[in-house]
Amino acid sequence: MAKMDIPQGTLDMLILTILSRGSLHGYGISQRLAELTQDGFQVNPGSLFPALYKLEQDGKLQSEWAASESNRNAKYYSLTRAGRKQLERERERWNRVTHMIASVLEGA
Amino acid sequence: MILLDRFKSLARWILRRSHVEAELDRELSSYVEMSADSRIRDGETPDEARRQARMALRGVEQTKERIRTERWGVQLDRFRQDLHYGWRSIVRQPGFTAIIVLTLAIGIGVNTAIYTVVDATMLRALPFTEPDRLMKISLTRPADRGSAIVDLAIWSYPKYETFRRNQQVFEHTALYRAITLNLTGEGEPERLRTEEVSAGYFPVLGVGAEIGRTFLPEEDAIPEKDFVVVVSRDLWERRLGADPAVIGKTITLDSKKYTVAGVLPAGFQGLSGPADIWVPVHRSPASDLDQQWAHAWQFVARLNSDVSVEQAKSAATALGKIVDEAHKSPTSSGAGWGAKAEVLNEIRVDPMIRNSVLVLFGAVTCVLLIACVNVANLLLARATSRRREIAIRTAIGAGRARVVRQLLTESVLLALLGGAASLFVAYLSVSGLNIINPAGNALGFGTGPSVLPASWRLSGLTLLGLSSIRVDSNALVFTFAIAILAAMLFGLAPAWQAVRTQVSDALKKKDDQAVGLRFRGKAGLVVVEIALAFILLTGAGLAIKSLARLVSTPIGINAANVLTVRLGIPPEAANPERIVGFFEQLEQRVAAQAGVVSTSLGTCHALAGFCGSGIILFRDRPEVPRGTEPTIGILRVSPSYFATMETPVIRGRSFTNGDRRDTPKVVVINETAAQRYFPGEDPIGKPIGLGINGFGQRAEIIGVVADVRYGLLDQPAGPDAYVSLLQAPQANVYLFARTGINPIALTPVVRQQVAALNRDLPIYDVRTMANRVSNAAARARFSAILLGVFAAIAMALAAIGIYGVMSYMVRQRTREAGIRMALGARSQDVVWHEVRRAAVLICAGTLLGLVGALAATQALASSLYEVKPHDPQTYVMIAVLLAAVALLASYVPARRASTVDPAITLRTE
Repeated sequence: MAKMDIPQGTLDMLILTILSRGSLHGYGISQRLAELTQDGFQVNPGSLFPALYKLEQDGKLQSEWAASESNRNAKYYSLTRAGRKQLERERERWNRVTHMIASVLEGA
Repeated sequence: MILLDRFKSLARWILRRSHVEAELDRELSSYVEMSADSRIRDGETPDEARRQARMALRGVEQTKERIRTERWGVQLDRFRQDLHYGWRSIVRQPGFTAIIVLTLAIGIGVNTAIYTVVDATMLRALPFTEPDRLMKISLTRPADRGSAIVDLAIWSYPKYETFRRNQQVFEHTALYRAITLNLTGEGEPERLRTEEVSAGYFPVLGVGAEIGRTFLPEEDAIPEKDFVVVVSRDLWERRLGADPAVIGKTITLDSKKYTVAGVLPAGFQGLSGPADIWVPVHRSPASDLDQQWAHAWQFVARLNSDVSVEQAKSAATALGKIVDEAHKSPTSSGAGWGAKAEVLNEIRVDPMIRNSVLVLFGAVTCVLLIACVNVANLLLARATSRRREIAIRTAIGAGRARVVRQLLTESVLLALLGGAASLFVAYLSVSGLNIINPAGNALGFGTGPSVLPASWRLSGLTLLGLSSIRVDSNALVFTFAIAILAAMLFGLAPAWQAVRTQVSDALKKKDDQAVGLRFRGKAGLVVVEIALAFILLTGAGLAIKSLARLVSTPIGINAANVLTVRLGIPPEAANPERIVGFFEQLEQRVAAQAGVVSTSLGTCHALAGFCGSGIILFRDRPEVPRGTEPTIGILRVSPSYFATMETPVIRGRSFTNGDRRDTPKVVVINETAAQRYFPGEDPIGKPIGLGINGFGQRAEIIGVVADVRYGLLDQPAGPDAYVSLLQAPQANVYLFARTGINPIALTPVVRQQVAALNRDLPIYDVRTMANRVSNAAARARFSAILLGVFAAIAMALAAIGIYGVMSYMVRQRTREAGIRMALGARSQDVVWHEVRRAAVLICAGTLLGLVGALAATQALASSLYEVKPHDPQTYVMIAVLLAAVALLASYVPARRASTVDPAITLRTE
């Protein structure tokens, strides 16, 4: 699949979704995102880390340092309760948006 | 939960910033490592893999910066940076900083000082439980007998009872009044300041005894049954040996034994001012309490919790009608008496005092504004020399908002330093205030019923307020707020200038050259400064002129070298015959002492405020309807009174020792009474009646004396009638002794003579007559002194401001001056040239100030005596004074410019 920019305002939701399966470090998140979209979405660290820090600051994520699978020290992020709630809200909103857009596209 | 997380994160950022930064580094490098690992796995060489991984980060620093920006800790970080820059520039120029801080300290300090007065007298809650539920109930009477007093305010006991029995809106009600009682027994006899109160008084105020109890409801029921007393903590310590077992013991007050029921908490002050003891209203005999026309008590009440103020007010009006029905009084107009309720807190300050304090507040606001203008000018001057610094910072990427914020941070820092320093100024000012404090003078004593510092028109509540002026936490908050406000005021100018600066211009030109243009802004500030100073100076000028007129007003007596003391014979011992005998002996004894020129007695003294009055009847004229009789001030004096006071007898004769209780009643009237009631007639020999015991039927006018002002210093005497103390004895009197020596030095002698006649009789309220007269002008003096001081500060600040701006402008044009002088201009020409420019500003400022002063001095109108708020003489004098000072302030720098050697000036370019 050809590379695409991540639609505006969805990066947070994507990060939260990926982390809802379990804790992961920054590099892991970007890898996972590429994997899930067959390299369609690629997030560069210059966008990823600010988003992660913002989410952590807002209390949606928590982090701790642990050894990675390749035995590197890495900072693992995981969802907080507030993060889970945020994810539910974002997901619902997204579903409604896509549903409505689809209706418009079909109805027109 | 979420909030807590945010808070924790913020706290972490603040407390462990370096730690967070390090973590960020670690995380990013871990990312690079992992990214590189996976590239190596994909077959890239390690070096290439690492390079690619780093590339993906697009520069570690930029990424870090973006992360930092995402965090809101960054705002804090910038603030810290601004503070750091600000602090650096403040410390770099200590002299400059010192001048600004000093100017602000004065400007803010005087504001804080006056704020403490406003706070104490108007803002601070009254020191009682739920003070907003306290209401003052006043009896109102229709305008009658030509009297202007419509709010009589005070109640008689039967009227109060009628009101109390019928009311449902108040939880507690109480009567109170200030009296004085003689304490005798162990130690020196002492006159005690006393509040006579009904049992509801302490529950109304929500105050309980610290030891023992306050009064019981049953002590409010039967006259002369319970002689109980509650004492102040101070008296308990001073006279009762701080004995905790004092409850139940007795003390002797006015020859009666009172049982001590309780001791009040330290510092408690009632509604009529400071007092030593409290006694119940029902200590008086039934015959006194039954007098429905004996209006003597103030009425205060506590609102029921479920009743609104409005409901209480309308209830009081309705109850007023019931009271009027029950105690009908014939009036000329037929209108009835009434009652009204007001929230105590709203009427706590005398309108005159409120006005004075607000005028002072206006004055210090002017001082602060001038201080701000000066500081703004200084900052502007410096900002100009910092234009390049700021332009460079703008050029390398600081946004305008950032620059403005940094300049404002600097201003706030300066203001806070100034605010901190101002506390010292405020502390000094408040100590100074307490020295000239009007209450301090009035507080000495004299809370007797008729002589309640009425000369001062001070209510007990105002006294309560004035006695608590201090720099407290409220004042600190105020200072802080004012400092920030000031920073916004004086910080805006340089910030505005910075925003308008064109980067390229600023970088190209030399510092000094860019500035000539700024002249207009600075000139505007100077004009404002002069205008403000002018307003303040005229206000002060008017107040001082008014004070001068006030204190030079002849009051009708010679107040120099007269000792005055008060004494009161307890009612038990006060049978008329004994009083007369006692007074005659006392007068003779004191008059016989060395250094005494003349002695007399009287029931009141000049400028006491109010001395009592009664109706006057003309027995040789047709009778007027009841209720329409004219009133006249009534004074009881001993025969030597006019001689002692040096009040001339204009016609007829004064009293003699032969005018006694068993001889025909005689009256002396003042000139005003003679002119008002006997125009074109000789009053001598006219038969009149006076509204005092024994004089109602017939008395004869035997003399006319010059007017004496017994009321207020600024009010001409009304009609007064004098009767002889020997014919109409009174138990509470002043003893006046004109001396050839320092009057106060005579005090022990007088005390000794009184004690020789009656060991248990204290003398009190010992003061010179001159001091009493001076107190009558205390408020005017207070205002005039403060306004004068503030105006002087304002003028000094304005002069400094003008000096600063002129020196600056002259320095900018030294080159011009140099060229002019090289071309042959004489140094006077150069000076004149500069001074003329200043003169234009001074004229503009004076004109603007004139307009402002014409409006602003209206606020003074009510407190000026024989001076119009638009007094031309004052305005001209102030204009000349201010112009002279301002011209001098601009002449000095101009003169300096003309002394520079042209060769040097030209070479410096």
